[in-house]
Amino acid sequence: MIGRKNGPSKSDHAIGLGLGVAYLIVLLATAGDVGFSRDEGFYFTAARQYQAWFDVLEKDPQRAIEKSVIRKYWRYNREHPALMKVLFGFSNRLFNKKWEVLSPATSFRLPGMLAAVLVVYLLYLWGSSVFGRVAGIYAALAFALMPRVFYHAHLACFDVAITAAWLLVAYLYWRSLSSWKFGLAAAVAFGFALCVKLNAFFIPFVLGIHYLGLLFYRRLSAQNDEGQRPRAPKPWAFVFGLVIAPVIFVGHWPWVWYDTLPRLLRYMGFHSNHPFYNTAWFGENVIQAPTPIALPIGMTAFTIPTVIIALAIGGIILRLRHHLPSSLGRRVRSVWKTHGPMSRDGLDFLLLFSMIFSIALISHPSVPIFGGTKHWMPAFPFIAIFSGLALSRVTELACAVFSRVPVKVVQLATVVVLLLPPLQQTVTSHPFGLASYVPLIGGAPGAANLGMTRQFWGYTTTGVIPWLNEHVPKKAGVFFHDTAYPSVRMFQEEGILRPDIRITRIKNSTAAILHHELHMIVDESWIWNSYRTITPVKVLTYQGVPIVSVYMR
Amino acid sequence: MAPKESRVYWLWAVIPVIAVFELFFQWIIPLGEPSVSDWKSAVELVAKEKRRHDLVTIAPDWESPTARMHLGPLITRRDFGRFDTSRYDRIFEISANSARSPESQGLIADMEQKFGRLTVSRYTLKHERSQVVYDFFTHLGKAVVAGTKRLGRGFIIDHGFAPRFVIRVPLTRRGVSVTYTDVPLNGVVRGYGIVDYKNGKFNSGGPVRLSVSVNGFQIGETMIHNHDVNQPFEFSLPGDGLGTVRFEISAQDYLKREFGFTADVRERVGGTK
Repeated sequence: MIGRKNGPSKSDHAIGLGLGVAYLIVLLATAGDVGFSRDEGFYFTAARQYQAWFDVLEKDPQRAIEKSVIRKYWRYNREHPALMKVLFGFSNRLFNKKWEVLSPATSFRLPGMLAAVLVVYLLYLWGSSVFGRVAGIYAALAFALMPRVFYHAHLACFDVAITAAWLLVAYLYWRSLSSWKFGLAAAVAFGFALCVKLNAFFIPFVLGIHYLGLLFYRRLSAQNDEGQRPRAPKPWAFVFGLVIAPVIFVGHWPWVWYDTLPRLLRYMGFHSNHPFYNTAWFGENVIQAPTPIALPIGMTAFTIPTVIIALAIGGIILRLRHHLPSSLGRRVRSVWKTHGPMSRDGLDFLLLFSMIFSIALISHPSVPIFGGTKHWMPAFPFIAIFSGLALSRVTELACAVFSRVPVKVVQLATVVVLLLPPLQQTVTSHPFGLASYVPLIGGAPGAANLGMTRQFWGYTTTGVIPWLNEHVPKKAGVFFHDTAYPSVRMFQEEGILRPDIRITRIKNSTAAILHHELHMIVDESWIWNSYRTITPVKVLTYQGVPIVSVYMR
Repeated sequence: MAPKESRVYWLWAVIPVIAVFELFFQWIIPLGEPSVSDWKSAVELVAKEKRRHDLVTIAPDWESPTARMHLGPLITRRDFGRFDTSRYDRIFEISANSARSPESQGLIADMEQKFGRLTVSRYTLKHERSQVVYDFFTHLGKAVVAGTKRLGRGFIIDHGFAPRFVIRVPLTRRGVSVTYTDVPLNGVVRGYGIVDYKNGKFNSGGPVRLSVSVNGFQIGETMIHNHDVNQPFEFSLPGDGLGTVRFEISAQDYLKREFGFTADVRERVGGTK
């Protein structure tokens, strides 16, 4: 059986935390390069607004919980629950306003970064406890060094947070199959997951299918000598979850304290009828159903370093061998050996189903798909775990080849060599993370040739701000295209963009920037018509592919 | 280890090979970006060799912003927003990493010069340039417009995401007319019409009707549908002399939609392109 009955050791916790802290340091050090995305601007605003409510709560708690006051402060951005925005706000209050150790933007972003740290820590913990330390280290770092994950990990957004929440709930649920205490923890974690993003509502479905599968499997299992079958694990996570999670979810969100049911239904209704946003797929602008079924799996393969994908496929094949019938032909058994310990409590199925589910769900042709790979990022930690597992097979090979070299040295070298591609891709794509595509399809130029999504969210403005600061006349108006107003204001608050520059529409602007995406040529034509020129004065490129153009009137 | 098992075992060696492949190509890919001096040299050559009816194209298309930045006035709005190559003699193609533009497909370069990652190629078009005797687009300032005050020249993006430099016509309930006088009547009226992508993308709204009349008599009518791309219209003119040509544009569904057209009078020389 795999998995230590008493869980990870203290040294494992230390190693996991060490990896996480190292990642945090890198994120903090590189935060200044990453521009502010559209959604971040809205969340900065929401965070500040919610903090204002906490000020009212401190001074006059009775008034703070009045319906009109709650409506005033919590109405904004009510299409998402409040937890992350509250954390952004408190982080800003502490680390920027009070202690002044972080800039305003970085202080808002810190909770998002800590969510990424949690994923790294959990991946090491889970990976090492079942497949060994080498597998755990590789899983943690493979996730951390996926270029698009590295980008998202910087942001004051929800995508990495829900990835962390999903992983945490799945891990605690798996532990709960042998301990009721973890069932309680899983329930609390699930409650908080619901407070992060709507994706969390699907977690019970995934875990429920897994649990039913376990029951079914045990029913089919052979009886022991006393005529008994293995005992089914108790569904502690579900039992506690039913009670605790709704309380946490409703309790954390003042907006739903009044008109609870209608407001919750409107919240869910917004997402079930979510508008389509533009995304490009092989030269086609996808703006309505049916969306290409292959898009999520394709984008996953095109953006996660190929060595990780190859390892993950290898890891799945390795684990599958454990579950094939013993009646399998002798020839197959002699060639296709098992690797690693037997699975406990349906771990393999849990990992595989968790990996597949997010991708499968968004692959449905009726589901709006946009924003690169962020909406199925909860699948990525599980890809990383399988890749870590396969790594151990590769180290066996390496040890066989380099039999005269100490095993630890060979293991270390293998991990390093197989982490180099993700590291290289992450370093060289920073801060253009969302324009990053793997060498397999020719990188960014290859993706441009194929007509793939080049970017979104208007975050790449950072790259042209120095030019704007130098060339735009004093108090001139600038059209910032896809960068939302609050995000531009944050550039100014951080001292990156000149404070005198005004944010205007095209017709009132002296300079205009354009974020290149397939459908954005329509917006670019507005600039051409207003400025009567098609000649940009500056073009920011990544691997030679235009990302942002600047026009001057 | 059994021979078959060892063969399968060695399949795992593919993994480090993939890693090396990724490392190598991630390093190689950025080296394919043309340098500023590549662009400068290429543009200098085009500026030196380009004649009046030559067209400059860029390949691949996504290099367009960078190319336009370097080309400046060598590529006009009209050239950039063209519908076809019928008004040109030759093409100067600036190509990065051996890409080809659609216009040069099937043609053989009569001049080719490399500048780093860029290649400047010159192609002579197979058909003779159409002789344009009157350009409604450039004479718009002399036209009498009825039905709107917001008509003008500009870009509209068609459903293939191609930019088209056209006479932009906001659709109205009663329709819009654009009347030109003293138009030479020998040849054909040829042009294109498009509905803008943004309003037509969900196929909302019916077709736009464009009719052309000469001295009060209709010579032709065409319907332009939302997703029409590069569909020319061509109507024969009566014969000779000068006359009044009127374009009438109307649509049943006119709200929040934009239409654009371009047209000219041209003689037929060796077949149209």
